[in-house]
Amino acid sequence: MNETGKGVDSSGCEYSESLLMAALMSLPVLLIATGLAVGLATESALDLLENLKSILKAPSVLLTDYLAVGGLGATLINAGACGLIGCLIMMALRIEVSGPFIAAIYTVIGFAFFGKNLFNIWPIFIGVMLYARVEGTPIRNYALVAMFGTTLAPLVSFITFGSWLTPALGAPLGIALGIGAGFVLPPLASHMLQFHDGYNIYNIGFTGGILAAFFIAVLRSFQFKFEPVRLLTSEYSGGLQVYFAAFFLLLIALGLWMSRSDLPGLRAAFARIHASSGRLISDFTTIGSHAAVFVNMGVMGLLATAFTILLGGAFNGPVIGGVLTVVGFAAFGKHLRNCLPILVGVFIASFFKTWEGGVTELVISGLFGTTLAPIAGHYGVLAGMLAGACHLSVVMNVGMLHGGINLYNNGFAGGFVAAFLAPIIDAFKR
Amino acid sequence: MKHEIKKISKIVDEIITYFVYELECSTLELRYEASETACVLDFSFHGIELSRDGFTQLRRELRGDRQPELEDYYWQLMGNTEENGALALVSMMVDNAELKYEGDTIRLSLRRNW
Repeated sequence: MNETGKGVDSSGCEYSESLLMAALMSLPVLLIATGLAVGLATESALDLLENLKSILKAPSVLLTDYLAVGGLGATLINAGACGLIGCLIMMALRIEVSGPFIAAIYTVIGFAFFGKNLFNIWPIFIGVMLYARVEGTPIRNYALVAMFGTTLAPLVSFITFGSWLTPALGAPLGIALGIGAGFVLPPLASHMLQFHDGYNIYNIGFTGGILAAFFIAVLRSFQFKFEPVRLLTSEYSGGLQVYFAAFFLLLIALGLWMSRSDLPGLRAAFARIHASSGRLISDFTTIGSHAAVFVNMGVMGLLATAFTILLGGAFNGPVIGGVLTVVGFAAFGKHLRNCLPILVGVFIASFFKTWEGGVTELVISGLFGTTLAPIAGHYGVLAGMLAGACHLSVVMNVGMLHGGINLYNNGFAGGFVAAFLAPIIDAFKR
Repeated sequence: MKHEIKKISKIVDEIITYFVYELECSTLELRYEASETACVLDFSFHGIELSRDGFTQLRRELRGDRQPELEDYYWQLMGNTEENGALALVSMMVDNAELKYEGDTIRLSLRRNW
């Protein structure tokens, strides 16, 4: 046991923790640098600041595309800064770069294109930290829940800036509710895992949905109205497709470079990753290797980009969020073998079904629908396609329960689909 | 120490499920010993036929470091299904795991510090 020390993966290759952290921080740093460069090239520093302020003051319920609210520069800075905060928290708490935390950082970055911002994530963090303090448990034990828990960040923004309350009254209430949500998340998130037995990778999306439904029900009885939002822009789509595709190629190059002296080892680690069902908890950095994870992340990013283009979708905030979440979870449960059946299932079902909204809703249903990848990984291609097809219907019907306050709407829907399908498929399989 | 006994029973559940369902052991023995600092679980599984590669894979799955930053969140997943994926959870919840394969018997000793 523990024959391999810290920073050494199962393939036997040694990577320093600082190299891995630098690799993880590359995207947030790149986004901030690009945001500053683009922002200052196209507008004055004052306008850039004003746009950033617009993002921080947006109610942020689903679907609020920050690219439409604050433009490209401010959105990239917000996304990068949120991701960087996550990395700094990991460093401060001495948390190693593992699959779950790679997934968490990329999820925070992705959703900072349409719902999470530098104002609304803090109350959730504080709530989770308070819970750890009350429990007498080290904060690092709940850092993962804190990061994924920012799914409920719009609760803070909506009460502060989107309700009938003035911001002066709304801010204390919104922040208090955010802290309260963060405080109850850890025990709930752990308990909810049993509902779907780990077949829904975005477990906190399911937990957040249950919690948000409760909050919203209470708030609605106090005259708070939650209307669906659909604020999207395709203005920056072309450039962002090229930008992110180039980054995904860099991830593949990084993985190959890390394994330059042991390419057969990389191939073996990649094969082990693809042999995994992806069911929670599948940390691909230990099942495979960090190098294989970076290659997998790049490959999955290109697949998600191709899926978006194939469906005629634009790279707007929600779609970028979906793509980056797929990339992040390529370290923690997702690979080509278990994701393709879900995407195909959603794609085929789209020909026979009606769904609300436009292509963006369809694209993000597919991308985030890969939360059900473990069903394909464990029960096979047909089960995966069935799960994808069911997901497209369910996801269009659960948003009203949480009023758009739970950003991981697909994780919420995925929980129901997984809990419904997995036992049935299991029963017929035996 | 919260949920500590439940966590240990989940570890036992997961290990037994894996060895009985996946490796089809015919007989098993379990010894539980708790002290002020740790809990030690000693298992003996008999009647097992496992290839060298299979045993190496099993050791790989159980050899990871303890990860408290994941344990408190994911421990409730253990023992819920017959899939062996949750062995990774066992690995992240114990401080030490020793495995020996002699004849048709695998001896596994798990130590979890309080």
